[in-house]
Amino acid sequence: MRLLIRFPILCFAMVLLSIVGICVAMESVGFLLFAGTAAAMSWYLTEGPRGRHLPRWVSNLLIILASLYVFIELVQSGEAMNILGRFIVWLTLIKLYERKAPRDYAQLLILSLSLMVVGSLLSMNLLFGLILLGYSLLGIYVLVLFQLYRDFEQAKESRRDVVPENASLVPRVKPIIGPRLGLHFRSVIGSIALAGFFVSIIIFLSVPRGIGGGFASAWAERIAQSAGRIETGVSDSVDLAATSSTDVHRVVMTVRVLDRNGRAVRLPDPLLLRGHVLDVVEPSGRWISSTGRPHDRIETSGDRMIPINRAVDTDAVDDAYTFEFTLATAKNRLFTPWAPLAVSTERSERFRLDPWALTLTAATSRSLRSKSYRVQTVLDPPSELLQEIQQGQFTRWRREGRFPIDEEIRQLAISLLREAGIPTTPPDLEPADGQQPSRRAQAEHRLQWNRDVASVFEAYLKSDRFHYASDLRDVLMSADQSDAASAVRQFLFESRRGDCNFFAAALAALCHNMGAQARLVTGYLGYEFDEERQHYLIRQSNAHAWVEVRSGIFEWATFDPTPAVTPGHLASIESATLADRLRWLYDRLEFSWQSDVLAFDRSAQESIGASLQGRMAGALSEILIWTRTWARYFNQALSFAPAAYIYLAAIMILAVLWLYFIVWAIRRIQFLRGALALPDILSRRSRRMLRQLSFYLDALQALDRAGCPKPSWTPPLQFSHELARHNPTAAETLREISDLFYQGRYGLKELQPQEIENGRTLVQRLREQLHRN
Amino acid sequence: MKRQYHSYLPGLIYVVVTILILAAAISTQHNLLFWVFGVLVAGIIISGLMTLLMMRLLEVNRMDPKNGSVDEPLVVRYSATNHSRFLPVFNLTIEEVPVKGKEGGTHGGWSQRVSRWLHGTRHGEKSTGQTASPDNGWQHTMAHSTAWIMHIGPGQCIHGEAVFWPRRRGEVHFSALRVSTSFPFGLLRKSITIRHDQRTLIYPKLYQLRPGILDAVKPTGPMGERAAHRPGEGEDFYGLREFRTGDSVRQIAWKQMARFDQRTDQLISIDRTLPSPPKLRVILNLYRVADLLSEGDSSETKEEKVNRVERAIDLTASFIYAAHLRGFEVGLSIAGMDIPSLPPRRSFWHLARLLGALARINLAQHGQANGKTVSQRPANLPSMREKAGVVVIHPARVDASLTPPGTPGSSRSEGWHLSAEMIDQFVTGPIHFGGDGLAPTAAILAASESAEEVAA
Repeated sequence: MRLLIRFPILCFAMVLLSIVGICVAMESVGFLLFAGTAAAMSWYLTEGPRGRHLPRWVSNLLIILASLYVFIELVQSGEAMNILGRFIVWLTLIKLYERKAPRDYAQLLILSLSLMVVGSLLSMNLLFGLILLGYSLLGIYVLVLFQLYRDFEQAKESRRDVVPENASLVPRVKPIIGPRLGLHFRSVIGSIALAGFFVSIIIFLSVPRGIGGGFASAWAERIAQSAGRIETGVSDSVDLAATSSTDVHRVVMTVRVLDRNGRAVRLPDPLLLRGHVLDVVEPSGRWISSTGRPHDRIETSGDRMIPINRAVDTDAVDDAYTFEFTLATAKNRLFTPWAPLAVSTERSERFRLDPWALTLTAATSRSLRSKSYRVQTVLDPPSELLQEIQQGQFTRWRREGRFPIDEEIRQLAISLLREAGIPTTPPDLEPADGQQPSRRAQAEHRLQWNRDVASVFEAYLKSDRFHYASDLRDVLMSADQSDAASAVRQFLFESRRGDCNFFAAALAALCHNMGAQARLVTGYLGYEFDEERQHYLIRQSNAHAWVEVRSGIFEWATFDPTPAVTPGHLASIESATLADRLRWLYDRLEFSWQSDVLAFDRSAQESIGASLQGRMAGALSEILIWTRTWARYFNQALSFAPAAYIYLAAIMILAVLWLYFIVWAIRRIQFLRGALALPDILSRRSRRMLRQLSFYLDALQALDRAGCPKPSWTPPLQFSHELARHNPTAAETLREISDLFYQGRYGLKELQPQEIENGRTLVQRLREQLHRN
Repeated sequence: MKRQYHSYLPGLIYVVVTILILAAAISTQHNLLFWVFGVLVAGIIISGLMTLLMMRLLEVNRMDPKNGSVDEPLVVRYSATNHSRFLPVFNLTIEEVPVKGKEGGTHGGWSQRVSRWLHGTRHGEKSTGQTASPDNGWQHTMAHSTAWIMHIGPGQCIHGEAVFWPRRRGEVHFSALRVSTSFPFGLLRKSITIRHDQRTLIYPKLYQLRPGILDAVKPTGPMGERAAHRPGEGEDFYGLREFRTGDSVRQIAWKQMARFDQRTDQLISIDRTLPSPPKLRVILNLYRVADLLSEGDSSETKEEKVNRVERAIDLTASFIYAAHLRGFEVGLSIAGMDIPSLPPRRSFWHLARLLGALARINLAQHGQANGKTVSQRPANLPSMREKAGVVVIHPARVDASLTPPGTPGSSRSEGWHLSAEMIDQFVTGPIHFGGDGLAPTAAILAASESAEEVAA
C-alpha cells in the first residue's frame, strides 16, 4: 500500500525533474526559479491540508492564453524549440494545479516526457545528460508504479459502479499483496532498468547513422542552430557588423603537446591554433579567405605521420613538437599551430593544403571522419624550413583584397608611427660598399618595417584606451554601415570597445592603410592546462582572432592586439585549486560525453563493428585451434590411429544425446511428481509411484495434445464424465486408466507388471480414440 | 486455456511517439534522440517479455462460490498461484467472461468493438457491468466488478475477490475467467482465458416482516406449540428419575421423596418434557402462473407480471426466513410446479434447502411446460396430518380453493391466504446482511450446498 501512496509524490518529483531538465537545456536560470517555485507551490496547494484545485474552466482558459502567448512569441522570434519548451512547461504547471485522476497523471507523464525530448534537442550539456539519465531511471519506476495505481483506481471505480448507492457493508477494495512486496518490486524495477539500459544501448549503437539526414534538413538545421549544437565562435569570415561572441564554455578539443622525447609538456606561451586565414576584405567590410590559389592534396592513413611537403625531412628537424588533438566532434578542417610539418589522423583522410596559408581543409565539403589527429610542428621555424614547407611558392599581395584606404584611419596610423619614430613609408635600403642592395634584401628590409609597424599598432590597441567587451549589442545597433571601413572607424574613434574580431580587424586595417601586409586568422586560443591529464583544454569560448603580419618572404609574425584576455587566465591557473581540479574533472566528463556519446556517428559505428567482428573471429579461431590441439593430444596420448577422430566424434555425439536424455528424464519426473501431487520423491513409496504410474502422465499428455487438457482442479474420473459428452469411447478408456491410477496412487496398491502393461495399452488406445475423433 | 495479447490506445500512442522520435532522430542526427528511441523500443520489448514470463507459470482458480442473495453483494474469490521460482507477478486483473459462442454474442457491433478497444476493456462488457443479455450465465442477473491482485511473489498463492451484485434470483453459471496483466508499462495486455464451469444459486430477496404477522399466522391450539413425548427442557412433567450430578436443586422432587421411604439417601429428580416448536407450512401458489403470464391483465407488461410473481417468491422466502429465526419448523410446497414438498424441519441446512428450491424456480420453463395444464389441481400439496399452520401466498388474487388435502371446513380457518400484491402491508423493508462475514448470511451460506449437490 505504501507503494501506491508513494506514487503521487514520485510522479511530482519526476515532473519537477523534467522542468529542471528543460531549464538546464535552455540554460535559463530565471525560468528555472519561476517554474520550479510554481511547481513546488502546486504540491502544497493541491496536496496540502486544504487541497485546493484549479477549476477545469480556469485551467482551460489558461491553456488558451498560453497558446496565444506562444503563438505571438513564435511569430516574433525564431527560436522554436525554446518556445516549445516554455509552452510545455506552462501546460505542465497548469496540469499540476488541477485535480488529478489517473488520466491527468498520464497526461502529466506525457508532458514531462515531451519536456525531456525537447531538452534533448536543445542541449549538449553533460548536466542535462545526467538529468536525462536520472529521469529515465525515475521514469521507469514511476511508469511501473502508475500502472499499479491506475489499475487500483479502476478496480475501486469498478466496485463503486457495481454497488448501488444506498448499499452498505460492501467489502472495500484493498491492494492484495504477498509477502516481501518491496523486495520483489525493487528487484523487478532494477532488472527492468538494467535490461532497458542494455537494450537501449544496443539499439543506440546499431541504428544506422547518416541515413536520411537530409530529410527535413532545413528544419533540423534550424533546431540545431537554436539549440547551440552547431559550434559557433570560429568562423570562416569576420564581419564586424554582425559579430557575435560565444560564452559557451564547452570543451571542444583537448591538445597534448609532446616534446621530442614524447613527454607531455606545457609551453610558456598560449597556443594559437589556426583554423581560417582571412586575407581578403570584401567591399562590405567582411574578411574572407582568398580563393583561386592552387592547392596541394594530402592523404593520411592511420597513425603514420605524413609530411606536408615530401621534400621536407621531418626527422631532421630538431626542435619539433607533436601536438595531439582530440576533438569532441569531427570538423571539416584541422586546427594547427604555426607551422605544421607533418600530420597523421585516426582514420584515412584526404586534405587540401593551402601552401600560402598553411591550412588543411577536408577535400570534400563533409566533415572528416577522424576525431583525433596529430600534427608535428616547429614553433619558431627558420626561413629556410618555411621555404621548404611552402615549396618556395611566393605569393604577391594583391591590391584588390586590401582594406580600403580611409583617411581618418590612415591619419591615426601616421600619427602613431611618428610618435614611435618609425618612418611612415617603407625606408629604402642604403647601398653598402657602393653596391645596390639586392631585390631580396630590399624586400626583407621592407618586411622588417612591417613588423615594426605592427608592433606599434598592437601596443596602441592594447593600451588602456581600448576595452575588451563581449556584449556588443549597443555597438552593433549604432554601427554606421555606410562603407567597408565604417565599423573599424567606429571602433577606433568612438566606441573603443569590442571583442577580438574588432581588435584584430583594427590592427589589420591600420597595417593595410600604411601598406603593411597583414591577414586575419581565426582559430582557438589555448591557455587552460589540465595538470592531471597534461593537456590543454580548448573551449568553445576560446575562439579567437588575431593577426599575422608578413615578416619575411615566407615568414609571418603573429600579433594579438586583444588586451588582457590571456594574461589573466594564465595567472589564474598558475596554481591549481580544488575548484580547478573539480572543473577539470567535470570538463573531462563532459568532453567524453560529447565526443563519445553525442558525436557518435557512422564512422564510430563502423569501427565498433570492425572491432567486434575481429574479436569474434579471433575467439572462434582460438576455439578451433584449441579443439584441434586437444584432439591431437588425446589421439597421441592414447596412440590411436587417425580413425580415432571418428570415435571421438561418436563419443561426443553420444555424450550430447545422453545429456539430452538426462534433461528429458528430469523434466518428466518433475511433471509426474506434479501430476501425482507427491510431497517428496525420496520416500520408497513415492519412488514406486513414479516408476509405476508414468502411464498416467502419458494419458494427460495425450489429452493435452488432442486439445482437451484436463484442468488441474478436476479429478480424472470427473473429467472422464465431462469427456463422455464429446467422445464416449475415449471417456470409457480414460475411466479405466483413472481406476488404475486411483488404485496405485490413493489405494496405495503396488501394481503388478501386467497391470502396468495394461495401463500403457490403455493409454495407447486412448491416443488412437482421441486421434480418431 | 487461451493466451492472447491485446493492444489498446496507450500502446498505440506509445508506438506513434516512438516512431516520431525516430523520425526526429534521423532528421537531426542527434544522438540523444537515438538513445531516447532506444529506451522507448526497450520499453516495448521488455513489456512484451515481462508479461509473457509472468503469465507463463501462473495458475488461477475460482474458489467454490457461495450462494448469494438478491441485492446483497456476492463475493467470489479466486486463488492465484505463481509457480515461478524467481519472477513475481504484478497487477493481475481477474474477471469472469462468458464463453464465446455458447452463451450469447458478446462482441456487439463495430462501434462497440472500437469503443472497447479504445478503453482497453476486454471481451464485450465494460468492467462495470451488466451487459445485454446472453440467455444463460450471470451477465443478465448480476453486475460485476473485477478482482485485482497487486502482487504475487515467487511460489506464493494469493486470494483475490470480485464483488457481484445479484439483481435477480436464480441459478447462475460461471463458465470462464480471464486473467490479464499490463505490467510493467501498460503498452500490451496479456491475458489467459481459463475455462472453469461452476454454478451457484441466488436466493430470493428477503424482507423483514411486520411485527405481529408471524404471531398472527402462528399455529395455535393442537396445531401450535406443544410438548413432545421426550425428556427435554420444557415445563410439563415427563417423569421421575435418579438425581444426577449437575441437576438443579429445583429439579429435585422433594414431595415425591417425602412419600418414599425416609431412610433412603437417594435423591430423585423430575424430568420435564421436550417442547416441540410450532410447525409452519408455506405454500407458494404458482398454480395459475402460466395463465397469469400469458393472459392476465392486458394493461400490464410481461415484465410487470413477472415482477408480481417474483414478489410472491420473495414474500415466501421472507416468511420462511422469519419463521426460521423465530424457531419454527418450516416446510415448503410450491403448488403448480413439479417440485416435491419439503417437510417442516428446523436447521440452517434445511433453510438453505428451502431458499434453494425457491431460487431454482424457472418461470419461463414453467410457463411453457404448464401451458396446457392450468386447470388441473396441483398434486404436490401435503396432507394436513402433519399438524402445521399453513400460509398460502398467491402472486395475484387469492385463490381460496387452494387448500391442503384433508383440510376440514373452510380454508381460512385452517390457513392464511396472502396476496403478494399487498406485500407492503406485510413487510417493513428489505433485510441487509452485508457482503460477507455477517452472522445470518454466513450461517446460511455455510450451511448451503452447491447447486449440483442440492439437485442430486
